[in-house]
Amino acid sequence: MERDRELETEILAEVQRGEPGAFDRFANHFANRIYAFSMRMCGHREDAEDVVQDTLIAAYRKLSDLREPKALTSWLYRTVSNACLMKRRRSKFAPKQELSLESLLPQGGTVDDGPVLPSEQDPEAGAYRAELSEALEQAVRDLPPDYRIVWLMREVEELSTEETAEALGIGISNVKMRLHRARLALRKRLAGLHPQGESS
Amino acid sequence: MNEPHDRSQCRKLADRLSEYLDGELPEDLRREVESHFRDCVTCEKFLVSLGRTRELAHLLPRLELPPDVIRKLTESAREELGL
Repeated sequence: MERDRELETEILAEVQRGEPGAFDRFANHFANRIYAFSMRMCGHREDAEDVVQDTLIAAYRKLSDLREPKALTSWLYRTVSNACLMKRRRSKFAPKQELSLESLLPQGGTVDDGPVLPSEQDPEAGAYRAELSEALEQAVRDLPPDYRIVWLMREVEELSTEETAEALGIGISNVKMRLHRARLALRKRLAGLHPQGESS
Repeated sequence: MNEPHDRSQCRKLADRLSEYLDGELPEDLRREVESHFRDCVTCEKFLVSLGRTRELAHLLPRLELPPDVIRKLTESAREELGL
């Protein structure tokens, strides 16, 4: 899903001007985006729906005193992230997990091919695409939350490194480190999958 | 060319490969990475596989709320906001 930043800025400006129907347009545009992100962070549909509603309300209130609508992106994801983390803490205590770089790098001078992308041309690639998609969803779910949140913001939500750092209140080097390790972990996890009939 | 060489260089650069792919490496380090690839097939292969991993996000299934749930959430939010 590609972000249409121009459309987002336009919608946010309409909300700020208090135009009729602006809230509905705002909600329709952002609800699914917030929901998908929350689902992948919270892991529960009911929690994700709560996060959508709470975030829409908070964002609308915040917008009235936000001078630069573009700044909403970082703020919005910070709000969603905090709400998701609160849900997670409420549901169960999860110890902080780290991804060790050493375990994710090639060992002994040899390297596997990593994930194999489905061919765009091959009509038979549908089954493999579905298999890879499902395996990716599970692999993302299994990333430690601190890494998963950065991967989702950067790769799926298409936030810049700076926006991600601002949203999470962490340094730029930390964002880069977490994104790199998340990619390495996904690379390693999905390396064994191949289209039917092909092997590494 | 993939002659035996100092693997500590591979290790050092492997840590920065996402920054290289994202175009976020400082110029001098970018040149160092590219020069290393010319001598190290292993690192080059690793980079290619990491580049493919970077393209995976668009394969994630689209997660969407049913329209009636969006309508319900929007109505509740509107009520809360007094709109």
